[in-house]
Amino acid sequence: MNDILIDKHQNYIYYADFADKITSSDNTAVKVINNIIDENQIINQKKTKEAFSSEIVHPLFIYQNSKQLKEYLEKNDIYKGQIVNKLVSVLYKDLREYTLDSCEMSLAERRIIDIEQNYTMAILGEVLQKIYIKHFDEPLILAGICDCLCRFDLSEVNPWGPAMLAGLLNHKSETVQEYATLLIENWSDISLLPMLESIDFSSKWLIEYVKEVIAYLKGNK
Amino acid sequence: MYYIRKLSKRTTLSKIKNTDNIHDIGADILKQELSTTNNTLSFWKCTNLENTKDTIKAILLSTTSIEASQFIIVNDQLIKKYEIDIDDKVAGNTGYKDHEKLHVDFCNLTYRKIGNILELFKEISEQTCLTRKLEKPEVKNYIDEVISDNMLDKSNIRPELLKDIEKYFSSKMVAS
Repeated sequence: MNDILIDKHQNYIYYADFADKITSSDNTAVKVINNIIDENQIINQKKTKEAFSSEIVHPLFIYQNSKQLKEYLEKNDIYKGQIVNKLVSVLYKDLREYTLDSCEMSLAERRIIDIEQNYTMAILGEVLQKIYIKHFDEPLILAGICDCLCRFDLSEVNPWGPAMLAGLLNHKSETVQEYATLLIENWSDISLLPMLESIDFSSKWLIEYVKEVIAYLKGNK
Repeated sequence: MYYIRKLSKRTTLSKIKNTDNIHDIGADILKQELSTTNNTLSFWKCTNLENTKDTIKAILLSTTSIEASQFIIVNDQLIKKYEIDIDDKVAGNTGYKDHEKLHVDFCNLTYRKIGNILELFKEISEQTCLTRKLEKPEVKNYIDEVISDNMLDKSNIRPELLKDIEKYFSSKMVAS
């Protein structure tokens, strides 16, 4: 079996080398419902490891221990790597649908919310950084990432969020510069001011907007 | 009467303001900011400029995220000048209890009238009192007030916004 399965609102995502262990006793796929966690039912990490080393994992175990599952997967580089790669693939696909002329919430933003809720912010950070590096020459992808990240606070996306900012602000595409500045405005943190002040923007409208953001950040000291 | 609309992007106003001829504005802005449904555009009304808070709260709680927001405000003189028809029959979807009726539609819009609205945006783009903006912390404060006043209607909030609200105001949400 090549894949593992994680339930995402009934949409199954499969990962390599793991599905054998996440099947029910009748060999049907087990649903891991990450959103439904009863803290009282969570058992300790040791038991989680034992369960994953056994041949059969009962569906109820997965259901009751989705938080442990997430933690286990995060701590295990192999599984984590597989998950990150899969999420890179699905999120990139959504980001390719991103357009600048939409007034509605994008598929990518929904996916990012989903990843943050069902995995962790750290996983989301890894996914976004991989896309950022691999697709740095695709302005719409980068603009889409910035747009989606506006909904988070700086404290939530530290340290990987600000780490991407310098590249975004210095990007040759004015659209990426615009969306990176929107991101800085929404992160509302004076520590980002030097980065913004160090960039020369070309268009009058963008210079004016950047000035507004700089004034806001300075007033926010 | 005044009519308020939240722009999709904070940068739109700067783009409009810095375009000498409105016909040269990027086409993306038309779809992003002036995308119509049944030849209507949503606005929210208020009676005077000193009391826009309730209207803005209603708008903020009709969106999908807590973010820095740019508003444009249109007055009756401009409505008359640019020949805009208004329909207040359709209540708005907002998580601000009892404020659904602040919603109005600019209706009977045509290609020419969409151009008029863009001209209107250009005209007010230089007027600070008609182009209010809220930074993200201010948006949070507005929503915080709605929760404190027990005026949040969870059933009418879009799920993505509700997640944000629960994230920032979890303790208050439990209490409410």
